[in-house]
Amino acid sequence: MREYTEAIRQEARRLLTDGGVQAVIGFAEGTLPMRTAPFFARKVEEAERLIWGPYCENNLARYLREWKGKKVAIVAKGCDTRSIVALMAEHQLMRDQVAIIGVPCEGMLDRRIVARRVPGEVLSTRQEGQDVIVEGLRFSVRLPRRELLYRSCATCLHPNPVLSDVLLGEPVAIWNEDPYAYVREMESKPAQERAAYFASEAGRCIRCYACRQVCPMCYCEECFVDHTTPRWIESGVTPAGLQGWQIGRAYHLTGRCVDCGACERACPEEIDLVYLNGKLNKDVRELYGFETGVQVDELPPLAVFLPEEGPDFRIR
Amino acid sequence: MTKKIDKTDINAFLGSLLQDYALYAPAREAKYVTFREIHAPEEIVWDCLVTREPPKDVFLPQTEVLFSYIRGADGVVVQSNEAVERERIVWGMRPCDAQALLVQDAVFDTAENRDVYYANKRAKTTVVGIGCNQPLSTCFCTAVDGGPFKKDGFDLFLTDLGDAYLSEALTGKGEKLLASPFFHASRKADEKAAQALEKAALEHLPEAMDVKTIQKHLDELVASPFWDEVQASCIGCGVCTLLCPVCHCFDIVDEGTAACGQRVRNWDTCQYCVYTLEASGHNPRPAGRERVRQRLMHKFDYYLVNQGVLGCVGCGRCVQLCPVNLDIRQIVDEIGAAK
Repeated sequence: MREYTEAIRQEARRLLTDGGVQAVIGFAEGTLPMRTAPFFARKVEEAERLIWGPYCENNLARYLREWKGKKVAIVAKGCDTRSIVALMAEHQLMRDQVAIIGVPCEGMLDRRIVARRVPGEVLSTRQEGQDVIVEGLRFSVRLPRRELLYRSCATCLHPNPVLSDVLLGEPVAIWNEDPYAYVREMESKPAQERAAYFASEAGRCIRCYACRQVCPMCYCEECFVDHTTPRWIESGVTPAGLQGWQIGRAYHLTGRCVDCGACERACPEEIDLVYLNGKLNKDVRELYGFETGVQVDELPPLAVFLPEEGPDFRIR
Repeated sequence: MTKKIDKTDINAFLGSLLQDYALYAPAREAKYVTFREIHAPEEIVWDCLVTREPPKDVFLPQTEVLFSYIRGADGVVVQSNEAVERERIVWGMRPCDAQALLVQDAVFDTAENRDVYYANKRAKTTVVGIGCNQPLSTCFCTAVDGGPFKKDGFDLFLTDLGDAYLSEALTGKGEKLLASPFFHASRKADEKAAQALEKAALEHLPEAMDVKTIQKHLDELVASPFWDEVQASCIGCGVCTLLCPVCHCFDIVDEGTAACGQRVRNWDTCQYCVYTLEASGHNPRPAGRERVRQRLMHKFDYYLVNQGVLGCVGCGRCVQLCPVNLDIRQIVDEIGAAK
């Protein structure tokens, strides 16, 4: 795996010294194996804590809303830069307010897959070429990296930043040609089976809203589930309440989601959110030829009405 | 009284219990293991130390209908939901989760305050615990006055001896289970083996935290910029609180029409931005700083003042599940070390 840690620290030091940024948003070492923690380096000395690795799984663009009016730098993978572009398209941030440290990404490792592939608690991991060595109290297992990627990463079409002020490495080769293979597989199933799958996935939801809170695009000051007078959906973990929440959020993200997978990684119940949002993204791609956040200044088709649109909202 | 049950007999014993009790135990759910109702002994997963969800909702359901009402010809009929018909057993609870139950008892079931919904469930439930032979690296019960073989809160306590479970009854409910012919006499050697297991487990667990210093520093740090640093990465979801075995805040809503409806109690969390939002529009905990601080202060300061016990049992769920790896152990260390 590519080493970017030193390059990130160097760029962070430069930006904090005379780049005019109030902070560099990146990752620092986590307190657990296979984890990193989002970190805000505000002083030059703090740049030493920034790291890069295969567990930099959060979409840091989520934090930009807390730095409005201030200039910040952000360590951004391909998906993170797409979120930045999407936020710009919705006028949530100005280009000159963010210094993008672009990182061509090789995909993040799914710590849940790793944990299930070994016979005990994971105490440490390390990279060795294209393999990952996973160690616990009484085991050491070698696993190929490509079997451990998050599904959103395994199917990623945009690992390279689409926008950046500095790019820390050569673009990576795209390793996947078919981003929605898993969606097509589900689409081929009969409706009853798809409905049962959705109901059982949604049925595990505990309405912690980690999916919403970790998403760069869920920035509404009042979420539809928090509205009362009237309450739009049932408040509890009933089937209606849970499915209403899942469907509502997915629809509110249509044409805005970048398939980063942060929602599914945050979910304590491991609900299949990558499929749910991926399905809608695939529909937008096929209906409108639009992929969120890839082209700066491209108008999101579900946010903008143009006179030349036909009754199905497509350009005539 | 202490007896023993062989592992070769355990499923037959549990099968017999399923005739008379609803049984809750660690079992597989999708890709993980969680506490849920089981219908066959084979569903039980024996080697999961920390279930994804704690057994909290056996006593405090996440969504609970308190009562329902219907308007009929003779007026409004209200039907309460407080009765618990069936006897229940929670099987395989760990000492941390049992300690959490005791903290909840101090809130929901005291001489001054008795929540009938909670208390009825407690009265109808037998709690069977099991000791932790091999704590996880995220476990820290010993730091918060707990222990891997602590028996407080259990009716029956099991120790995994390898080929059998040493079984100690601690209450009348526990004695009732122990009366089953599947249990036979244990030997002194079994009890010695159990002690050795406890000693080995303790070697992997941290020292007790200096509770008095933490509490004192928390009071002193209220206005400190310390909290701006700590809360910077918190995204304000509810994972830590909803998956915490101790946390029990709730919201009560009425859902229905003039014709019929229900009063429902749902879990709530102090981590939501709307938690303290008042009708006036004022919010006394307007930002992450106030909310993250409140969580730490409630668990390590206010619970001590109000209930006389810590509000954290060291199960490590929040540590494992926080989407941004905010680690309560690290925060408490920093609080202890603060000048």
